[in-house]
Amino acid sequence: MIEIKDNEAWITLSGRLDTATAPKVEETLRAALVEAPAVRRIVIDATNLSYISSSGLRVILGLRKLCATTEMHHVQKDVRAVLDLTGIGKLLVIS
Amino acid sequence: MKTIKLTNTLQSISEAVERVDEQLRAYKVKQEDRLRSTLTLEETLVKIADSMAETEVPIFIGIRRTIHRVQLRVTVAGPEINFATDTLLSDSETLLEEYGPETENLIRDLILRTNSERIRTRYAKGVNRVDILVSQNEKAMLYETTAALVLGVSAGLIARLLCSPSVAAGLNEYLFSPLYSLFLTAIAMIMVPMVFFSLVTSISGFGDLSALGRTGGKVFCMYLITTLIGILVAIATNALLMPGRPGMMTLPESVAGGESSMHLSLMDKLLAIVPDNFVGAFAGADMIQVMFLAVLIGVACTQIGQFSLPLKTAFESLSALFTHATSLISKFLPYAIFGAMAQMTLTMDVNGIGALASWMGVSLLCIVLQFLVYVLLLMFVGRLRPMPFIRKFVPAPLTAFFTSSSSATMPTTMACLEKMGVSRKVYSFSVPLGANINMDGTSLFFMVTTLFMAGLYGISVDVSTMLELIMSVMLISVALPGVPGAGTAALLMLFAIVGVPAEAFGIVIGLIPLIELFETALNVTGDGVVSAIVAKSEGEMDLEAYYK
Repeated sequence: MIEIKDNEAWITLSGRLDTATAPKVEETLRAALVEAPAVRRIVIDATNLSYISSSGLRVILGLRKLCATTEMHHVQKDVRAVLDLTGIGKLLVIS
Repeated sequence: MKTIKLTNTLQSISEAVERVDEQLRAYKVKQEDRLRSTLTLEETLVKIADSMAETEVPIFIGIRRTIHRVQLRVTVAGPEINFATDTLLSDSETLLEEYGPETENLIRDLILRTNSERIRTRYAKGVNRVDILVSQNEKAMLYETTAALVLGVSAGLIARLLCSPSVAAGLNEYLFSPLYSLFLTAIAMIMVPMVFFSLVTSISGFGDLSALGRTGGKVFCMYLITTLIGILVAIATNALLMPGRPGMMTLPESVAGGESSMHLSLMDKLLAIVPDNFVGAFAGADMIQVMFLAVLIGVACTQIGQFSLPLKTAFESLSALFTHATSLISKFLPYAIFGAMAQMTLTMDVNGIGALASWMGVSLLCIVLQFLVYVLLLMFVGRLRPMPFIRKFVPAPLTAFFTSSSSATMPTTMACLEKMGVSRKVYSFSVPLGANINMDGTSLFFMVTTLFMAGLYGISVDVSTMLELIMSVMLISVALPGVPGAGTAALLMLFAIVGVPAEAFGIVIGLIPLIELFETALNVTGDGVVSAIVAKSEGEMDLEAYYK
């Protein structure tokens, strides 16, 4: 779910990123990124991410804190709606 | 009602939210409503879990579906939980930039705050209760009023055909008539403050027309022009066809005695617009004077510097208060319809049925005529062939007809306009504005019904009263809030201007919800026509897309 190459981290998120799943996802991603301090760009593939709540959004903002260039690609309608609702959509590069 | 039991653990919350989501899918709740409510539910549950000192505390989620709405109810026993959110939406972006340990709580507060209109919390007898509105059935009112109409006619027929005259008269006096007259009294009570504060809020909101820009100004003026045309169509149709034989209904003595006041000279009427006493205008429920004061206060409100903003906020709050009070009263509309229809069936003769049929006929004819006016406007003002418009725009009035709501139709209206090549710059402004102020169908219906009733009661409407009516309908169309009951209040107000007794409302009350479907479809079509014409004139239309 995370692949690091050429100072870029490629992350794939799927299913629900909610209050139950977010802590585990956050732990995994942080562990991987701490070992790769040279990462300058994080790209999240959200093709199969169907739902995100405040816990999931905190994970995304945490990634952005680690690397200012954090992008979310293939964001689904429901997830996009939550990003817009909270204003977090403005802080990320989204496609 | 379906109930889901969970505990205050994160895993349990996640599973419960998924089960609620599945149930809402089974209820065919719209995707947007489902997302907002499950998200709100999850954040509420986490807030509850965070506030609990103990673990494994049982929490219950009830999913309730009625004819009116789908609702979630979360209940949990224990000390009172503070669901208040402190975050200001305007500060959110800055706060989110400063990522820290409180970020998740901040996001949770943002989600709960943006959905606050859907949430109601209560603490009683040691139990916290949170109600989350999932979706509202926009057609519930229509179903209820239709059922009330059928039941009312049935009750009236039973009383007329099967009961003795004394029993029938008793039913009428002690059941049917009070149900309906109580509703009318309540609406008459609320109409003055409701119209006043709505109008002040609208006028103060549009105080600075130059801020709308050239395109916005054009849209605004076109909306007023199409509304005026709708009113003139109603007047012309009524004058040509003269539906309802004059004097078919007789005025109550109290009204007939005061009829002479309706025949004042134009100058007297103009002078009477300005009240000699601010409070007197309200106490006497003189709607023309009340509207004059509303315009005066609305304009003044925009010109008093630092005091403008707090006053505008105060007027908006009062407008929301009285609009909500009106919608609360309108919950009794089905009972009023039942009473009115039963009374009408019990007492009406062939003349009355003929009057009702001709009112329906004239109202529908006016709607068709206004549609033809739109076609002519497209051809001669917009210089556009009307067929591509009709072909591409049909889904919007159809949606409006079935939802009976201009606001609920907005996404469809915008999609249709985009399809016909109207630029986003135009429709993103014109459609929301139109949903609020462009009420061609409603204005036309108000006018035709008021004039029809005046004819029915043998009241002659002179030029000065007609001018008053036109002005009042124009102002009402701009200010009328889109809640059930507001139309009833406005119509009663117009009746009062002409001198038609409030009881006349009973003749049409049962069929108004049906006419409203056509009205809304016409309102939305007006929004589309104006958007297309303005877009074309401003070079904001892709003509290739329009004619494709």
